[in-house]
Amino acid sequence: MENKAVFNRSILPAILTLCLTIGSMVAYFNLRPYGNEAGFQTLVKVAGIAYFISVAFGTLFVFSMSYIGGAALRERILASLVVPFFWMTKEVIRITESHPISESLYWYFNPLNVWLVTLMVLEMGIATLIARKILKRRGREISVVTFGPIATIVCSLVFVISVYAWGKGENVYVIFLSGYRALFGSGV
Amino acid sequence: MKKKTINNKEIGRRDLIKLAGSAATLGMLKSAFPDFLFASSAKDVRRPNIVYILGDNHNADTIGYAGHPFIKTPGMDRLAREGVVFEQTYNTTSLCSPSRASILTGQYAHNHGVKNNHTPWTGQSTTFLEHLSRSGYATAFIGKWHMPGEGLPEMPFLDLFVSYTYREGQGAYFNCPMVVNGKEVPSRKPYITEEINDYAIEFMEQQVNKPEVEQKPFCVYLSHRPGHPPFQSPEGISGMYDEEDVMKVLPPHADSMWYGKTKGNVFQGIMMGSYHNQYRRYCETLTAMDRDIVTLLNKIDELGLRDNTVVIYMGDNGMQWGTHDRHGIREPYEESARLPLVIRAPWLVPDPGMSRRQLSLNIDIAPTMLDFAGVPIPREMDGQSLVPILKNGNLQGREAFLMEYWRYYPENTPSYVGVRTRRHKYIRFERGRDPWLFDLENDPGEMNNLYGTPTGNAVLPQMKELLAQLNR
Repeated sequence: MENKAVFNRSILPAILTLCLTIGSMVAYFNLRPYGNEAGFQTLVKVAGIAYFISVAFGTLFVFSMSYIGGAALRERILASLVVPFFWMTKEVIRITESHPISESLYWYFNPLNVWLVTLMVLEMGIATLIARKILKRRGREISVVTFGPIATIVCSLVFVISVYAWGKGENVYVIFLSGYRALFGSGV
Repeated sequence: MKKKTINNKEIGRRDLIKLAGSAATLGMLKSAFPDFLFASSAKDVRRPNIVYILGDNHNADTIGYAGHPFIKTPGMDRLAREGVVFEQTYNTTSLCSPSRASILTGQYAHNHGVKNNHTPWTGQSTTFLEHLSRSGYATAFIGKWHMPGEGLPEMPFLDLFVSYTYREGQGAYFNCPMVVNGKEVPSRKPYITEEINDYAIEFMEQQVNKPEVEQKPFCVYLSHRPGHPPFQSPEGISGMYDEEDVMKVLPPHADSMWYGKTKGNVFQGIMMGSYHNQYRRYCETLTAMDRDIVTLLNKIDELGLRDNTVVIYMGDNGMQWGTHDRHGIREPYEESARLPLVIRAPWLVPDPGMSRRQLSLNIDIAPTMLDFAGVPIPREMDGQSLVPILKNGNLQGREAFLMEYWRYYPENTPSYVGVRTRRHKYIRFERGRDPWLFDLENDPGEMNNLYGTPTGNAVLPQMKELLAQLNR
């Protein structure tokens, strides 16, 4: 591997993705038609898609870049977590408008976040294969397909699909709310 | 001559002649007046049947009769033509379970105790169905119960209790397992509205087909799921609004992708698809429900019950579609709090097809039902009967009502309490937001918060006083 400095190999990709997330988020929520509805629809589509991709698929980019840069597994995972953690925290802060801190923190465990983390694991497996392929093209002696990433991809894919397939996620949400009631009652 | 006996009392020839004369007079009178005025059972005057239909999250403007540009609701439109539309109907707590409990009990949520969708129904308050049952009505609860607690409540006074517990009582649009009088049974029809409509029709037929001496007036509470996500409709209706221009209805800044359940949540939005399509699917579910309302109204005609059956359609909550950057049912804006309400009672309404502008509430339903049935309205009910307003559209109606909401996890609306008068709305949040004060006469869209302004300061003391009075 290239063994770049920590900043270049892990922090920079994470910051770049985070900037895309914040920029697209700010644009998305502050755009208004101002008389041109067609233009507005196009702009919000671009901003919204960028926002979604940065949160949901940023791991592909960050994990690959840090792998190619020579980062260890723990560092790659930490770098990949920056954007999803930012987004989840934004959502937790949103909940504090109406709920106490303890209940807001429970929002970290909502099904969408669980789904997102599993998606990240899936992307980490895919990113590993991508990064290895790139390194191999650059002349590194490396096996692209090994048991580890393939098992990661298969397991996480099964989980991602089954969580959604089981009542389109509604059943998991019901379990999450049962957990809330077990911890906090009705909240009022 | 051998004396005849009636009720173990001996009667003579003269008594028999008197009895025959009375019967003949009664027969002549009966032919001159509507049938329901003449009892065939124990009571002297037969009381009307009642069919109450409840929709879910039904925005009061998303109906044909309200001028919606494309939705097809011929059933509700017929009710509006033949009955009276209450244009200013509100829920007192803008959330499913509390609103449903308020409808059944006639009480504000702080009295019946179901404060949010996590607070169990304890049965501590008496429902209007129980009052009607005690007074001799055959009663049926059919459809969505959706109040928290361990399964469905015990309601032995009901002659028929059909509901579901699937997915916390939300049920499913297709093949929803049902619970009929405490017994789990599979669905008989694939789509949920057809399924519960069939139970309602069967119940009505059973009542009509009983021997005359066993017949009682009946009350059917028919509680539908359409209007609630995930919006799914049956074949023939699914996709029928694909070509409609939803921007005739949605606010201009509602982009085609956005489906945040709460402000600022785009990720969930894209997960759940196009906002424009969500709105189309929502309308389709309402049309699917309306199709069964048409069937039900036709059945009422076919059974000869039209002239002695009250039919009511109402929603439990409104629904906000992108206005104020919000989506949902919880915010104290008009779109969330205002409900559709139509009442058809042909013998009471002098001006069918007209509307009423008096403030009416979900808590008015229970006392109205009892008033229809001639049952005294208990003091613990907070609502008022709408029957006097039905009869006379010139009555003034109430001056103000209490709006109350307890935070409901994980939704992003803080607890609030407020008061709505004919002209103003004042809302005080528990946390996170400044109070609201809107002049609904000059600002029906609630765009200009008057709180803290000179105009607002002039009104505020009166609003605070009203709030204190109502919130005692």
